[in-house]
Amino acid sequence: MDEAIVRFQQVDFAYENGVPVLEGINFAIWPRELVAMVGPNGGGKTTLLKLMTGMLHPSSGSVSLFGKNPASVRSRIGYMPQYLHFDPDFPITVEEVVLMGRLGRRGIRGFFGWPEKRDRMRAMDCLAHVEMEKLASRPFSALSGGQRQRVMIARALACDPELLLLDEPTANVDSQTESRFMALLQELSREITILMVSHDMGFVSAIVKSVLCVNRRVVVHPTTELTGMVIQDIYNCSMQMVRHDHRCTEKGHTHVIPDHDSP
Amino acid sequence: MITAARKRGTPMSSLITILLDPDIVFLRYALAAGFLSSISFGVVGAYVVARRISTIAGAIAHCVLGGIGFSLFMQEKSPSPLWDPVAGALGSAVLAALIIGVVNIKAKHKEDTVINALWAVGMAVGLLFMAKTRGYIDPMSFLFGNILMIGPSDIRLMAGLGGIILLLVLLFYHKLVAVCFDEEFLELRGVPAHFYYFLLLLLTALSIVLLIRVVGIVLVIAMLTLPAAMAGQMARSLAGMMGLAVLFSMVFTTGGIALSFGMDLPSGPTIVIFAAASYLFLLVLLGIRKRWQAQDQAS
Repeated sequence: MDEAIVRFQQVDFAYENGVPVLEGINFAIWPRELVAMVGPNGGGKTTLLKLMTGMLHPSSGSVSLFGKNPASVRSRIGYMPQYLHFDPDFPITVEEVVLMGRLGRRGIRGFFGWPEKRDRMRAMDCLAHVEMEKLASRPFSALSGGQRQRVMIARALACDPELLLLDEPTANVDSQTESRFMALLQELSREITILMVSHDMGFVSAIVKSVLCVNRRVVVHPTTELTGMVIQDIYNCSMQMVRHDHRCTEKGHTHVIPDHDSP
Repeated sequence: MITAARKRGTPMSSLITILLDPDIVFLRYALAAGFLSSISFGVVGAYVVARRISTIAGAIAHCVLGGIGFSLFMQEKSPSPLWDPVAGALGSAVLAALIIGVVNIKAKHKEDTVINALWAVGMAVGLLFMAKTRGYIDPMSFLFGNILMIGPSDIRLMAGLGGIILLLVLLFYHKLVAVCFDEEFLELRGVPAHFYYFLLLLLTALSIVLLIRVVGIVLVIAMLTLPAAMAGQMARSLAGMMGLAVLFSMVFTTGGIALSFGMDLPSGPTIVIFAAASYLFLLVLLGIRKRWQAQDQAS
């Protein structure tokens, strides 16, 4: 039996002001799963990602990544933040951005962090995956929002990750790129585990195997119908429904994604 | 003779006349200091502008006065080579960088308050120590610098510190770029991003100590930001920005010295005003070009 890539057990989290952001979170993500995370702004999606990567620590409960403390194994993650996270005027070329993915465990090993030829080749390969290799020498600041997004995906791929975390990967890309990106994710999910945050229910429903619905609690897509009442309860507003046919187990107050430990 | 040379021609030609005079060495030292300091202005300035830490650099610079004042005070009480003002400046700059770095990591929401408090307290401490030191000490020379007072020992110090800065930047270029662009990502790659952030602050502190002799505490921020900001308008990468910023700094320090010499003005403020006017000129040019491009596209 494979070990869970990510496991949350009875996790609560509150920032310094004491207001609870996440409560009673239980779920697991298994190898080579393609999972989407949806939820309203302020619902705790980014906090959940930061707990997963060990950038934050739970107030109670436990989080494990590859069966270990997240902080000790986070270099096995490829992370793509939202593109708004960056200074658009920063003087850096597209290739330099992608080469950052080679820093750390799997890429550039030297203490000083100078890339070798194989790192540059891997960076170009990742840029080719998102059809950006011709713009490698362009300044990052000269790209459109959608192009920057693709460069960020290439940087995450350059990490040679075992778990790919994508925060709104298709927020600024056109529909053609989105379709190609979906195909790429499906291809990658044969080898690696992928979790992506998205507001686009239509986009995620077409390709993912499980949907994590986050709004202080986590509800994972049940095998039976996810009723309108449940969705409304999570989002506090009317939402578009997503239908999938996946197994689901119920634990405590939350529904969870298929758990290999469960019957 | 200097006055005669000033009267004879343009600032640059009179500067050249003086430079060729074997009996007048201070201008040669000033120009050498200008060239050496340009390396730090450009290289570290590029990081300061790209990482947007000019306020932090300002606080570090003003804390330096505290260290200088303390050294002068101690020098009078118990004379020792330990109380050299440069050592005091270096110590206070590094201490300020460490405090700001720790606050950035442990209590980011208080960073702004701490930076501004350090800025003011550093200066206040320096002025108090100077007031309690016997003999006349003019804080103006520290606040506004005097490149024409630079001697061979200053040049050696500038070359040494500048060499250390260049070596560190050369060795850790990619990690320093990464910590400026996306510190969180670097941390996620298992690279100690905090260490490189501290290194960046220490490089900034070193540069400030090095540059205070040239333009002084108050004006050092202008020279750390203006050439780099101009270069940032043209460069594709941080390395390109550094190269251009070094070049601009060399033009500003040399041109500023020539102007100050020819027009009998204080050198530090002249260098800064020359840099600021050039920056403004560049912004106007870029604005006009943008307008033309928009008109071309419309037509």
